[in-house]
Amino acid sequence: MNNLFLQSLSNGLFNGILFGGIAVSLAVAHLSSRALHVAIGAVIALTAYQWLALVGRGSPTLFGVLAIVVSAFGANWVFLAAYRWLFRRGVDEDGVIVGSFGLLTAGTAALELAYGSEAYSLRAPWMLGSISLDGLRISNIDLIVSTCILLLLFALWFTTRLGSFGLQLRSIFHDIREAEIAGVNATLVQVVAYAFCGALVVVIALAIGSRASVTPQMGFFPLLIGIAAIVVGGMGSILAAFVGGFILGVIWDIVGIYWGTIWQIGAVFGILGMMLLVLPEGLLPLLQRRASKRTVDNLGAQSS
Amino acid sequence: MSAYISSVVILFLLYGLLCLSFDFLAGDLRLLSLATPAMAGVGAYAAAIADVSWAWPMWAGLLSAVIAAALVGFVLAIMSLRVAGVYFFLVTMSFALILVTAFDQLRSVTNGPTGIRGITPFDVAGLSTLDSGIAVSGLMCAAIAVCIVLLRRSYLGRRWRALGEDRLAAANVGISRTAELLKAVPLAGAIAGVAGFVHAHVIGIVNPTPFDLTAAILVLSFCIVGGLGRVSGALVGAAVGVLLPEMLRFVPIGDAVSQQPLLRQLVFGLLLFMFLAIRPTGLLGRSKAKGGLEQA
Repeated sequence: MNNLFLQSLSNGLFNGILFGGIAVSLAVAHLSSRALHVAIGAVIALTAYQWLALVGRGSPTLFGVLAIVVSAFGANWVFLAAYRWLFRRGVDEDGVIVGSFGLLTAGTAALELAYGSEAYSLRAPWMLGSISLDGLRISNIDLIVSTCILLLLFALWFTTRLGSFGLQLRSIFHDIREAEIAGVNATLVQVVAYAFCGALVVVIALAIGSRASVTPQMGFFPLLIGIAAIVVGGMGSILAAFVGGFILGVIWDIVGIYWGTIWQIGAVFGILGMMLLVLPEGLLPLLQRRASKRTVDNLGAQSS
Repeated sequence: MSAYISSVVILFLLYGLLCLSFDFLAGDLRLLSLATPAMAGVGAYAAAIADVSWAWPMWAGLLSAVIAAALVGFVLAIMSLRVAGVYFFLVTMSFALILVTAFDQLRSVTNGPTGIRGITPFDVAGLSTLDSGIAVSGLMCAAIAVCIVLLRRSYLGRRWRALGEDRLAAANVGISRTAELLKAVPLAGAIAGVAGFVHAHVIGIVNPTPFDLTAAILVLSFCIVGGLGRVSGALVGAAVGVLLPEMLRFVPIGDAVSQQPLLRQLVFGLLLFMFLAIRPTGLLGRSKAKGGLEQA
């Protein structure tokens, strides 16, 4: 019983990091462009198919990684251009989400027309093994995916905290016009943000493709989880999105182990519904209150 | 009427009912709901259970479908009292997912992915099964369309439009968003329930697939292509949505029949995007000056 709990906690931890990564990929795109990048679902599926087409047919792994990174970046930038066009045409944020849903539908259908609806596995020999730590089994793919996501999140944190990128991102999120007047190169910031999103998409596509299977609809699941996570966390913050995703990931695994996998999606979206009822702004205000309290405490300590 | 044309007309009427339910909320209150097909699913299951399990007469099945879908609409309204705009869209999306999961997993009630079969078809005296389906669904569609037009011209409709145009201004003149949502969302649910009832008796099988998120996105795109805020826009959108794939049968891409739903998804996904950018008011929607999709 105790071992089962520890194992589910360990699985939940890795799942939480994956869901957190998914939420951060959506949050970064949303922060930079104010567009909820729903079409990311199609980019995830496209990336997985590219991997299958290259590495699955014998191309070197490094070449495959480079190729899917380029393809994920390219697809994300095409979608960014589409959202920018919609905004320029006077469509508001809600309309852009609807447009993104249109692109997701079209993209998924195009992938199914091109590759068919058969499910393929991404599992390579190096993904299959697992290590054992005091009776806890941790699969290679979980370790690799979590490490990659944490490294990317660290790079994102480093870029946003130690450079002016974070400030520019926030200023664009609040008012893109004023940010541009103040000298922020909004296009460059958006391109970099969507590149970060693309890098996370590559890891997510490999994780989902190896855990489940590669189908044209494989991007729907991470998309829905990502949307739930950024709403639970609170729109407009990368940290809140990660926290939201992490919590949902842990709950997802615990519900799956103790109540059965059929209730996982119901539990996640039940929590989302409850959050919208009780805290429509998500966990963000709570996180901000903690941060502002810490700042006040620090100021108090400095003055005394 | 040949069987092929009859089935196309029935498909148009089914989507027409769903589009009317979607437009009922989106047109005036500017609330885009992805839960419309899922609520129709609730109506369809209620009608199917009333018919197959309890052998109730059809009018009782219709009543149970409408009440069940309206009750689910009421729950959705309560869930969305504190949210608007993007958040309402996301609430309806999560609500639809929960409902479709429930259709799939509550096997003792819904029979899971296999669904409920053997539902009694419509039988109008002297007409074939397909033509009876057309007659009943056409009648329902026309009756609902007239009711929506009358409602939109009424005091209630004007209150909803005011709420959709400017929530703050509406609140200042005493229009309570809570009260209006608790009326409008269950009513939209009831319309979806009628669509579900018609679906159950015309198709003869009720399973979760026709009520999933893909169907919701299709209904959304039909309404945007047709134009939000007008009954005629919803019906024209449904007509384009049903007729266009039929025309795509003649496009020489692989096995056109099996790939037809995919072609429809592809074309409508792109059309949705293009209409948003180039003609946000849709084919027949209200003019931009009166509030187009930009504010939806």
